[in-house]
Amino acid sequence: MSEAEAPVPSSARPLSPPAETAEDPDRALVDRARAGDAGAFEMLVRRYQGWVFTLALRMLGDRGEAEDMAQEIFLKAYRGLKRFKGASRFSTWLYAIAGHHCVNQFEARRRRPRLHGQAGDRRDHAEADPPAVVDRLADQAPHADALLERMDLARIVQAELANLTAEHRIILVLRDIQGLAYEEIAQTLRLELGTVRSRLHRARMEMRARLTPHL
Amino acid sequence: MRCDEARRVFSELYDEALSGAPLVTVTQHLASCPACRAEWANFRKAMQAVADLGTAEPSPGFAARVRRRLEAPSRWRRVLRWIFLPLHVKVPIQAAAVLLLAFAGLLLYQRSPELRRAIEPSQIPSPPVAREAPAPAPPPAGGEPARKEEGPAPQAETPKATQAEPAAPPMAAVPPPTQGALEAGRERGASSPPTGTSELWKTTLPSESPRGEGSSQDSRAKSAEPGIAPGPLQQYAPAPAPSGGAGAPAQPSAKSLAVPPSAPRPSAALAPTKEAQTSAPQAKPADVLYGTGLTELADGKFDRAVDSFRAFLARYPQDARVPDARLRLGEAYFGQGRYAEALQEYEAVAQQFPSGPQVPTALYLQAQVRLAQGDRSGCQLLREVADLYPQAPEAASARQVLAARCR
Repeated sequence: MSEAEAPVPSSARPLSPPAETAEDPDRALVDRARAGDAGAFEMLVRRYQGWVFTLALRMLGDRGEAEDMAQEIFLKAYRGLKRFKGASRFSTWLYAIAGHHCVNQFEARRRRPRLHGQAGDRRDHAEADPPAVVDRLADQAPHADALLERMDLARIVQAELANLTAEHRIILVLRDIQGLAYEEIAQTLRLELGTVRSRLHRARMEMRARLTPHL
Repeated sequence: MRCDEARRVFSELYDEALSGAPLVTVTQHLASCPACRAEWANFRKAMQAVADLGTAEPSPGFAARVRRRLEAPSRWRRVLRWIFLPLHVKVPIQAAAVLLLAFAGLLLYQRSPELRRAIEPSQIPSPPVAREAPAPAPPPAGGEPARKEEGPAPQAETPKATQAEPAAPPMAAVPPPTQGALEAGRERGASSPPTGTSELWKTTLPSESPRGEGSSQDSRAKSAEPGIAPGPLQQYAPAPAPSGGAGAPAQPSAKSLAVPPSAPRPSAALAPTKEAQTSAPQAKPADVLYGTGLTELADGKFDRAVDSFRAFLARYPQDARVPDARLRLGEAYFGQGRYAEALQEYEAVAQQFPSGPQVPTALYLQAQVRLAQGDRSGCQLLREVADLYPQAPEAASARQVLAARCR
């Protein structure tokens, strides 16, 4: 996988604030994209598509809707590139756009009646594409039971995630799935650091209470 | 440390954000409190389950789809692109199309006299030849075919006549007024004094009445009957020796004697309307122009009829209908009250087409115009008609007029 296509690792959990003063690795691509180079922006999309898509998927629970939302986020970012002055990293700026877009869209969808698949529907929260699941089950037959258990637990987690408020959901996703540091979360959601800590604690405790019966 | 205080820092403990004394305190509490230890274990399991959801990748081609959406032009831009791009191909084609349309419009304008007349009704160019003395007889028009609907071409033409008008079917195209038509015209003319105005013309125009049209039709039918000379020339050929009106001395009635100067109008019994109808579908410029003139003459639009026939004579001097057109031009002049010009046209027909079937008509009309002007030379012309063309319908009319006005 090339550098441009490398997704942002989610396992890393940096607790220290990002080096905003350091050179932004996306600077060159951003400058080219601002000059109208769609190819450069496509490189940025490849670099961050996993991160943005994951956020959208965990917020919405549906791959199709998540992909649409991810596209909207990137289009929004592309149109806003001229307003991006480079005061922060491109990734931080993109996370902020994605976070606000997800929260706004989630709230808007909650206000209007859904025609299908409530946020907590199990079928909406399939962890992986069905063919991929079948393949995995076939390849790992001895561990099929354990895998099914994990898939089942993943559906439960996703369903319970959907039962959280948007504020709790996104902060949990940003921290425990996306691996953002407190400071990045604060910048992304434009919150105080103390607010991030307290809100994350409440979201985690609620999730613990919801998941304990299934663990 | 109490249990609630320990559980309040679970999140920071999970993130390994505690250090120093707080970390030692909570660690000691968890070691000594089984409930909090179990709670901490559940907390870690739950958070691990959330983290195990992991990341996901969109479907393949996601970045390319985003780029396509970025580069997708707006609707207006798409329309403009569709119209103009590629510039080097579409713009020249569009320019050529515009030029072609403009050229076609110009061509249509130039080739269509009706269109030009509609746009510039008063700017029809007047052919100079009509005002001047009649030009020499045009050479035989070999390329101008005779009109089919006007009957067969003369069959018994003399070589001289052939040289003068080889394919002219003039009297079939311009059938002479029948006796009935002449009398009808005279009757109407007698009821209103001749003034030479277009109004009088209208009141006496034989073609305006069904009777007049019928007469015209009859004359054509008669020419095809056995016992009557088949060809116009044969029918109206001058008699070898004038017999002084002994041909067919018809007894003029009181009505027919009252021949007004409107007598020339019987030539309008040539049913111009019908000819216009028959010539229009051919859609040839000459036919259209000639038919337009006939229609205008029938409608009493003499100014326009003059323009049309003069234009016809100027543009198609070789056309077989030239003598007819000159006769009709004379009628139009007469309708305008321009007697001298009308006489000029009649004289020109008689001089330029001496063996043509239009001669008796031209002489008769000429005589009527002269009589209308008080010129007694008209009587001599009537005698010529009666003596030289005893078979022509004009001969009978001429004898009637002679009896009434030339005694």
